[in-house]
Amino acid sequence: MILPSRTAVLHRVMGPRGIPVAVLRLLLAVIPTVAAAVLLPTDSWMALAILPVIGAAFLHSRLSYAALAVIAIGVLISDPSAWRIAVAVLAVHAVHVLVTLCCAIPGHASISWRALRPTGIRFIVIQAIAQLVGLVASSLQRAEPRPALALVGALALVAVAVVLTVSNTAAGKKVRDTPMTPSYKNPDVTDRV
Amino acid sequence: MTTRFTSAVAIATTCAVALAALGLLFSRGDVVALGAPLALWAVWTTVTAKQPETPEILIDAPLHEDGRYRSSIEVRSDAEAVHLVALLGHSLERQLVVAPDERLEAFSIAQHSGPWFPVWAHARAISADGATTSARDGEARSRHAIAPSTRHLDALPTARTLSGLHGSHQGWRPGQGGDFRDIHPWAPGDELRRVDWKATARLARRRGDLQVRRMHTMSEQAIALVVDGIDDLGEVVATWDRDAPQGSGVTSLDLAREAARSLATMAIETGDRVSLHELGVGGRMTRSAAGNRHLARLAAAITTLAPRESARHWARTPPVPRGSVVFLLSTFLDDTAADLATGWLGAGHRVVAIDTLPHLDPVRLNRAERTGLRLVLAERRERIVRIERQGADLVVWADDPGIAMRLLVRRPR
Repeated sequence: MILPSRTAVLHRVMGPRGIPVAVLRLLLAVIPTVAAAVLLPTDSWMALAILPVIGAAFLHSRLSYAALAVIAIGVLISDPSAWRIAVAVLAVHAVHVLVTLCCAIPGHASISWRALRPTGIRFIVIQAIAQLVGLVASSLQRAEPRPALALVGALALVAVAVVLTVSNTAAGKKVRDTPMTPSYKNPDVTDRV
Repeated sequence: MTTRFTSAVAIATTCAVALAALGLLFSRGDVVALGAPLALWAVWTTVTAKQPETPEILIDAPLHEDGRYRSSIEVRSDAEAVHLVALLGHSLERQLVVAPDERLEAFSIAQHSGPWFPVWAHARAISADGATTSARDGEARSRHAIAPSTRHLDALPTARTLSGLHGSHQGWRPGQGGDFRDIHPWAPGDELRRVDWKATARLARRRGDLQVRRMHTMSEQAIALVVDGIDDLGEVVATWDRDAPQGSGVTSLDLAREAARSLATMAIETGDRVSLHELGVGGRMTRSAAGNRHLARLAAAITTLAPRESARHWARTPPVPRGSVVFLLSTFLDDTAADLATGWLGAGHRVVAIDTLPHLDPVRLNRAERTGLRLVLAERRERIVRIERQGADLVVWADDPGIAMRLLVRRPR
């Protein structure tokens, strides 16, 4: 009787140090769940926390973005607070970066630390600015409710959105946002080796 | 070049606007600030990111170390990261995301002889957290050919009539170098040193009659190796319906390459002329020649024998020299090889059918599949019996071919 071959023993790839992409997907489920637990009252966060978990499992449905609504509700229903806004800004940014990254690479791959370095640097820089903005907004909101502040901020974001939408439309057709699936057509083995 | 993005930029922008609208609705500046990281990310990505070029994959030639092949893979790109998919040895796929210029080592063990691709890699460049990717994927593969092993054969069967002029086989024409043929009256052209004086004294009738001792000439023979590579079937019958080189065991083409190389080596050592013909679409031919340089040429051609599509209905019969011994290497699972054998037998060639089907293992077959296998093997048996009755000799390579060849050599011509 012939035993089936053990391909894991026959073939191996040794790459640079890194982590499985599954860890990033796990973070995508954990971060918004923890943020919801921190920001929402204890009796209601569990019902809404299922959304990030489903979103992490069905990535291309973009259901993870529903976590942003959960986080925003958590900030809305509580009093302005510096640490709450810090957690919320971190979670919103992390969810978006993780969804974008995990949509482009398959869950069973691994990613090296060097490949994650540009993402990490960009995350830190944007977080530094966004945390400052959040801290200032929260401080001003606590000091005295200012509807005009919200109006100015909203108009600024809408202006940015219009500019980005126009420029994206001018760029034309979007690129694929799904992982690469190579096809192995039968190679022409008659080529001289 | 205009940079194209995935839907991530649009989603970030939309979410930032939605959060802004929510904050505006409830007059909460801190809720508006939640959209700040998304807006900053979208602006940063749009302004600084550029669409990466198609990545270039570099794979070094495989090195054989400790019974396995080691290949070094490097991807060059102007992107932040590269998604690399590597298929090892036609069977195992590994996916990694690496930074450009990071090196990977791939280890593969070859399970079969012949051409193979230790590494077949595809790569896509990724930038801006996956918001933009290269428009086209890079692709590269390393190629290598594993030489088949050789079995020692003591001798090869000879043709019924040898037509060569110089060689190591006993011919039928009068000449020099062979065994005693007859005593013949001297004719113009015979050498005087061939005169047999005792026979002359005994048989001469008139004065001046001479009797000469004639010998058989030594002849070479022409050998045609015809390889039927249309099927490449493994020991495990359950793998016949899919292209799965691992887990199939020894295949019919592995045996065919080993047989072809063993026969070619023995024939060239004997001094015979050998040609190689490959059946199927695009099948190549190596013309008949002798010598060690030709053996190297044959070994290279045999090493690269690969499965081909059947060209039964429109391809012509491979031409073989007159009086050749044709070694037909096939599984005889269809009529192609058997029909060719019938034609060559009718033309007067000696045909030796080399059965290259390995010993089969019917594990994991259900009852209907086992029945189907029995039918196929029964048809194959009928085909082989038919060509044996027409005069072909049969050698089963999966058994001990050396003994079968010795028996063929001893069989009278």
